[in-house]
Amino acid sequence: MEDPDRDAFLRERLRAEVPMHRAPESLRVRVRAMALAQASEALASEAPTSAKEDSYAPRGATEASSRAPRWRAAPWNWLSAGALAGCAATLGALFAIHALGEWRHSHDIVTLALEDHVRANREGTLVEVVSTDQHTVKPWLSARLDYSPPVHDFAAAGFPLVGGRIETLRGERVATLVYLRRLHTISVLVRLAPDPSIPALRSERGFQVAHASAPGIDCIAVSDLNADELSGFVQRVAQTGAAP
Amino acid sequence: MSAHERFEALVMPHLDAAYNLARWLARSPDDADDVVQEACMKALRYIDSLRGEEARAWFLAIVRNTFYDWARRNRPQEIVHAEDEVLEQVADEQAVGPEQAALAAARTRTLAEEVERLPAHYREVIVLRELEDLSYRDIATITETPIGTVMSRLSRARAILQQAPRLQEFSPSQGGA
Repeated sequence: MEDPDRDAFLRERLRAEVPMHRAPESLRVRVRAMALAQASEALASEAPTSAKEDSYAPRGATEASSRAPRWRAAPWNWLSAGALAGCAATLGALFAIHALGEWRHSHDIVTLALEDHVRANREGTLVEVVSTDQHTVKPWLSARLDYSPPVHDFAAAGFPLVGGRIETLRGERVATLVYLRRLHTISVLVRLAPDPSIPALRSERGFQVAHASAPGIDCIAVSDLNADELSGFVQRVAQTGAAP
Repeated sequence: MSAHERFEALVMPHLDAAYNLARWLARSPDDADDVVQEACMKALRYIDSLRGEEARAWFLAIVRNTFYDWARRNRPQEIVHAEDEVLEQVADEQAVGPEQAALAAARTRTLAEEVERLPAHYREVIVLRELEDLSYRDIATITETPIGTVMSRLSRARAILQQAPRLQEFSPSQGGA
C-alpha cells in the first residue's frame, strides 16, 4: 500500500492545488486588541503591589522597614508635621508652576501625554474599551466625558482602531483613542479646542509625540512608531475629525 | 516579559497556521474566525504554562481542541461518527463505482474538495503534514495521539485521496487496482 512515489506525487499535487488559508487582517487586529484588553484586565485584578507599583502608586506594605511606612507607625505629632510640610511643599510647587508661565504649558502637555502612553503600555491599561468599531468606541467615550470626540477607524490605511480609554491630564479628562500600526501601539488624545502652542513633533526617549489640529479638533499622538508615519497619521486623524 | 509580550512573540507568528488548520477543520471562514479567536483567548490565559516546548505545536493543539469543543456544541452530527465508519463510507463510494451520476460528480471534484470530504481526523493530518510540513512528532503532540496512530491515519488519508478520479488520471504508477 505504501508507495513513496505515489505519496510524493500526492504531496506535490496537494501543495499545488489545495489552498493554504491565511488569517484575515481583521482577525489579526481583533486578536491583538483582545490581547491588549486581556492584559489590562489581568493587571487590574492583581494587587497594586506588584506590576502597578511605581511612583504613582502607594508602596507595598510588605516593605515595612523602608521610608514610607514610618509615617504609618509614627505618632500624631509626626503626622501633623508631615501634613504641614506637605502643605508647604504643595504651595511652593503651585507658586513655581504659576511663575513658570505659559511657555511651560505645551511642554507639560506633551510630556504628560508621553508619560501616560508609556505607563498605559507598561501596565497594560492601554485599552479600556476594546472595539474595532468606531460606533462602539464613540458612545463609550461620550458617556464618560463632557464632550463627544470624533472617532474614525483607519484600518484601510493600515491604522486599525482597537479601542479607547480616558486619560486625565492636569485634572482634565481626555478621550484617548488607540490604534495599531504593525506592532506599534498609538495613543491619540482627542480634544475639541485647537491648541497652537503644542509643537508639531517632539521625540523623547525613543517615543514620538506628534500634534495636529483642525477646526473643532486637537489631536496629540504618542507612539514609538517613526516620526514620519506618526505625523502623517495624526494629521489625517485631525482632518478627518474636523468640524464641517 | 509580560503575558501580552509573550503572546505577541510566541503565538502571533503562528496565526496563519492556526487559521489554516481551523479553516480546514471547520470548512467555513466565519467559523474558522470564531475558533481561532477563542483559541487565542485560551492561549493568552495559559501562556504562562508554555515552558520550553515548541510554541507552534502548543498553540495548534489549543486550536484543534477549541475546534472539537466548538463542533460538539454546534455540529454534533459530524463528531458522532466513528472514524472508521466514515472512512468505509467514503471509500465505498469511490472504489466500488456506484451509479454513473455519482462517478461523474466525483470526476469534477477538485483536490481541495476531496480534502474537505475527508473525515476530520484524516483531514487534520493531511493539512498538518502535507500543507504545514510539520513533523510526525509535532502532529502527535497536536492531535494528542501516538506517533503510530498519526502515521496510520496519514497513510489511510493518502490512500483515500489517491482514489480520487482527479489523481487517477495523472498518477505515475497506477498499481494496486
